[in-house]
Amino acid sequence: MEVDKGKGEAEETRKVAEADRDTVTLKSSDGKLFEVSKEAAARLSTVLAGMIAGGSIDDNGTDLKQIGSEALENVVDYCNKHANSIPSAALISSSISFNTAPFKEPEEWERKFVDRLSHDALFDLVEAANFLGMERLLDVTCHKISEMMKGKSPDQIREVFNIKNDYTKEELEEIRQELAWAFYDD
Amino acid sequence: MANQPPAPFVHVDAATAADMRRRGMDPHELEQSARGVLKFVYMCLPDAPAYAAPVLSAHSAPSDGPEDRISALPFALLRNIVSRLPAKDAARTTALSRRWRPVWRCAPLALADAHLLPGALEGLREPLRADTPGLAVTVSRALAAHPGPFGAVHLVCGYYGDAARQRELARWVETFAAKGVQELVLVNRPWPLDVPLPASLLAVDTLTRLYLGVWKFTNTSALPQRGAGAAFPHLRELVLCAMEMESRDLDFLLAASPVLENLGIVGSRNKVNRLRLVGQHPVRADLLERSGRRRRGGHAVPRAARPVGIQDERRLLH
Repeated sequence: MEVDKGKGEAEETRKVAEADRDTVTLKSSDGKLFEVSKEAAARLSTVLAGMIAGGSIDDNGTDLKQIGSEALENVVDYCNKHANSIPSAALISSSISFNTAPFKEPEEWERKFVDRLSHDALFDLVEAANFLGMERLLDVTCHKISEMMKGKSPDQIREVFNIKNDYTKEELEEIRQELAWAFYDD
Repeated sequence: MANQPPAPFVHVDAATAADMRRRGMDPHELEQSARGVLKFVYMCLPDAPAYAAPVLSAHSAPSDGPEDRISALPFALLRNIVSRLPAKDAARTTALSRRWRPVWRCAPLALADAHLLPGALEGLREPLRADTPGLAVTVSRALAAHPGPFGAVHLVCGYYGDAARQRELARWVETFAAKGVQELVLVNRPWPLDVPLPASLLAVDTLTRLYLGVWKFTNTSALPQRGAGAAFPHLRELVLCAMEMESRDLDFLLAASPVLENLGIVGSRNKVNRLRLVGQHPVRADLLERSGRRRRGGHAVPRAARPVGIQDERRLLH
């Protein structure tokens, strides 16, 4: 199984002392332990890949002091799901264009994965993904947040996200004038 | 109401229709073939940037507490989020709060004229000639307001037949050259079929991906072949759809694109009937048939093994 999944990471993982283990244990800020596929962790997180390659993974649980247990559980869940998922047809593109641009649209399961999260859990996950250097998970979570903003007026967006309008009336009017093309159909 | 209302042509303009009738031909046939060509061109284009099908998952948990989590994210993530929004939505984020004011201008612009015509991407309405002036005003303003660089600009809904539109297009292309754009998709909706592309396109040296549809390519015979100082040093993907161009123009483009990986030629209207790939680049060339038969199946076949065919669209346009 490891051979199947390993591929590019095989060399990196070989450097690690506990090469016979195919999982790593991560410890949240509140002391909970989570196991995650070593291959998936190394593939999806540049920070974890660096720690695995550098041998700084602790068998008794690598401390991730910036990440709470709920967010870490989601990270681990995402890595494990990713390890098991087969790229869907959507990933290969739906048009006849060559589609060499980096793939940015989330897959169906990734969509569902972020859709079920509460507002706070979503932001905890974005921050965790950012901290761990998980580019793909950042894409998926940022995409979700952008969808929450799409087609909404500034007022509606402020309401969804509790953004405090700290502009003066004059400043706001200035912005609306400046970018009238973006506002005129409000 | 006394007069018979003229048939509602979308593509064929009045002069062309009158000319055809004078010559005893039916302009409806021309209209149909223009429609067919355009439909095929659209199938070949990459998706509009920042577009996700009507938001299915728009329901989203309301914020749990009074905290503003989003504004607390690092600036780079705010840019990431804003760069995924259609241009109008993205620009409007500047009005959220002071924290947000600089974000839009620091995120690569994603501009698609199809986003500016509600219903166009869903196929609910067709971009009409009468839409072009309004679209053009918005495009001009968006391009002027954003400092660049632009990530992706897709202009596929306009009719560029008259001289004023062409001058405006030339100014946009000069803006692309000045501010930088990575992905550019330009389609002219007929009629006419031979609208010249602005020559300044050859000065847009930041391009990585270029799709052109239904233009007359710049006459390159007078231009020096630029070997070392290539016009498109970063261009990896070039797709030419229903273009009027000569073989020498294609040779010029290939010589100007030293890192080109993918080349697509979709229905050449003119004289590109030989393709000289003398091996200086590892170019993967696809010449697609107009039938669309291979449209979906193509993915099952490794690209290099895709069958190659070319069909002259002259047949369809006469």
